[in-house]
Amino acid sequence: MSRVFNWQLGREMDYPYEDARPAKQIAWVFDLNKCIACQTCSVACKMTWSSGRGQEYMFWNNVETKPYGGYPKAWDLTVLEKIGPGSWKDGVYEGKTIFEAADQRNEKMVGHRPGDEEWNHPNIGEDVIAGGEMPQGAHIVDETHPLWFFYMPRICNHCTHPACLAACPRRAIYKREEDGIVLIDQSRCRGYRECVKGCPYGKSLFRANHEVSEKCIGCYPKIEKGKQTQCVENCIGKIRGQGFVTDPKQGKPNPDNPIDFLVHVRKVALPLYPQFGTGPNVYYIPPIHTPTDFLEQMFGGGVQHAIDTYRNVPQDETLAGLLQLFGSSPEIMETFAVKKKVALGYNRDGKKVAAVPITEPPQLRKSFDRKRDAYRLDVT
Amino acid sequence: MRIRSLLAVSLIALAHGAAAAPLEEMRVVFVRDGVFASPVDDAWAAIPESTYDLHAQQIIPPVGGGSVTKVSVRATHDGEEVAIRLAWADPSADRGVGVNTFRDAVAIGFPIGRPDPAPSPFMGDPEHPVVIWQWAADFDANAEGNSRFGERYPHSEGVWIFPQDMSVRRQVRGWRGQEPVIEYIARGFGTLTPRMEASVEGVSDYRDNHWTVVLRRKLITSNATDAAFVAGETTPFIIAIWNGEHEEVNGRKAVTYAWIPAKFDGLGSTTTKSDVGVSREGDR
Ligand code: SF4
Ligand code: SF4
Repeated sequence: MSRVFNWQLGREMDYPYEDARPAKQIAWVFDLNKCIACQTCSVACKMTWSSGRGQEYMFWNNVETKPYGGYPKAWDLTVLEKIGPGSWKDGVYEGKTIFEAADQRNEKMVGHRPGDEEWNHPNIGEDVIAGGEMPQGAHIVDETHPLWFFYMPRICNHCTHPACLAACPRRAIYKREEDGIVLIDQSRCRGYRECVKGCPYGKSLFRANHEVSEKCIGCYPKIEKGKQTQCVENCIGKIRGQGFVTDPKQGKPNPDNPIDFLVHVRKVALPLYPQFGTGPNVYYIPPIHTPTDFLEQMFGGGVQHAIDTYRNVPQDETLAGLLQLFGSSPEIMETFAVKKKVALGYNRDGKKVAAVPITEPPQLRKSFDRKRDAYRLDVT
Repeated sequence: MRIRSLLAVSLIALAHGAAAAPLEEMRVVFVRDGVFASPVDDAWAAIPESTYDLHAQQIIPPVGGGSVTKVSVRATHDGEEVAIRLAWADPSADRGVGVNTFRDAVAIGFPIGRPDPAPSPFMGDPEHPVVIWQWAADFDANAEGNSRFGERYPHSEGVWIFPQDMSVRRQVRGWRGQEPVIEYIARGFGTLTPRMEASVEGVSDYRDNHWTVVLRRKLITSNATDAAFVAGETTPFIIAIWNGEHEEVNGRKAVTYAWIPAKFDGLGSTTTKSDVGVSREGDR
């Protein structure tokens, strides 16, 4: 047991394992306002890593519809119910984490091990609208929509205080010192499924035919080469940014680092269910039309600020530029700059790998294309 | 760490025999014309049976288990091989594994070599490793070709075109679910490591709500990290049983809390199968 400072909770908490922070921490930012649930990310991941026999229902990356979707089914509601209600006061979480809610004599964290039924319907609740019936002639008048749903792409959060790792009695799970990626050593795993039960996000999965647990590996061979993960590189909606986040406990956030800028400077990207206490490192820009109380349950106390910041993007050149850089290079952009209304992304060697104008200059094309011998209706 | 220091204290106590006195001795009967390899061999009836109480594992989390409360053991050796027959009541045979389906299993552990005094019976320690033989009902079913995996996971059947599937399979083959028995080395809690070399054979039978499993090995193997069995001498061992129906896996198991001395008959004994009233009819 160790006492750790969890900056996402604004306070210290008990963590049933040693507190070991990596030199660098991998992190993602997903802009939920832009996801279209095309599942290209899920397919990119699956074709790369989990297309084997026994992995039929295994999605390291999945996209679910909120509020009714969930893979595994009701993963979040089940954990929320177990930790009980909590509230946020001045950025401090007043409630219990999954570790604090556990009876430490018998368990390290309140856990939940979903069964086959829960895993075998990855798109349950898809596109189901919340808020009631859509009457004839209804239209939206407010900024917050009374009828709503949004898409929620999810991968392993490569948590700062991983529950999966703390749960494993064999110490088969480890967090890499160089980038904070959390991995299950396949040769040490004996398939006890303690991590499947321990991870509150349902992101440690069991492969029954090999009798081992498997999870997202953060595409570590790509990360080592400075490349973005498959789900980021292939995202059609360009909703995903990836890089490294600074733990304010360890150092001062760098405003030139895209992730630090979004998470710590503008505070527009928020951790998913920070109250679980694992320190997740996938940060979400909340969907601005969704009722705020729902979002607060999901992303904590900073929701209103994030929504206001996002609405202000047209006036915020740096933020507008940075969001343009999402999906603009297969390389990880560790730093960025916005100069003369052009966003520039630099890789780990400081080499420029992307230059994107905030506003694309209009292109006017002839209505008759001589080369293709065709007429165009859309000439701009 | 609080758990650690508590654990160390209880371990030291246990290792020095303060908490758990050795259990009743089990005789490994010498038979001249071959050990009984089958669990249903009638010859077993003539071998004295020792019965041991089992308890829920309470030393290291995750604690629990213990739904099987007794195990009956008989053993024979012929100077070449030893066969240990374990029998216990279990109302359901759990042979499959799914995300929330668990299998029945039994394991016995021995100190490696002949350390004196015997080390901690609980997974040994860094200087005194133990070797563990685990028989598992799902591995047994796989080895027999009775795995019903496809029934539970129908989409896993059929032609599979992805090459990585084959390469992973090759990696895990041999020690994960292809043989009924896996052998491990342990040097303390959390250090259980499977061993590639297999020297133990396992045969099982399930009927009338009872599992009967026979584990068989040569007395002497060429492997330095094996338990050494010597005719006329005593080797300690421990037993653990998992009941899949009650989600027992890992530390959630029923265990003997102390070593059981296994006294091997000397080679001078003249027991033969006919001496112990054996008819070979029951052999399978
Ligand atoms: S590829 Fe991008 S837009 Fe498509 S579902 Fe995944 S995250 Fe959403
Ligand atoms: S999301 Fe779950 S599996 Fe991933 S690091 Fe966190 S606790 Fe572990």
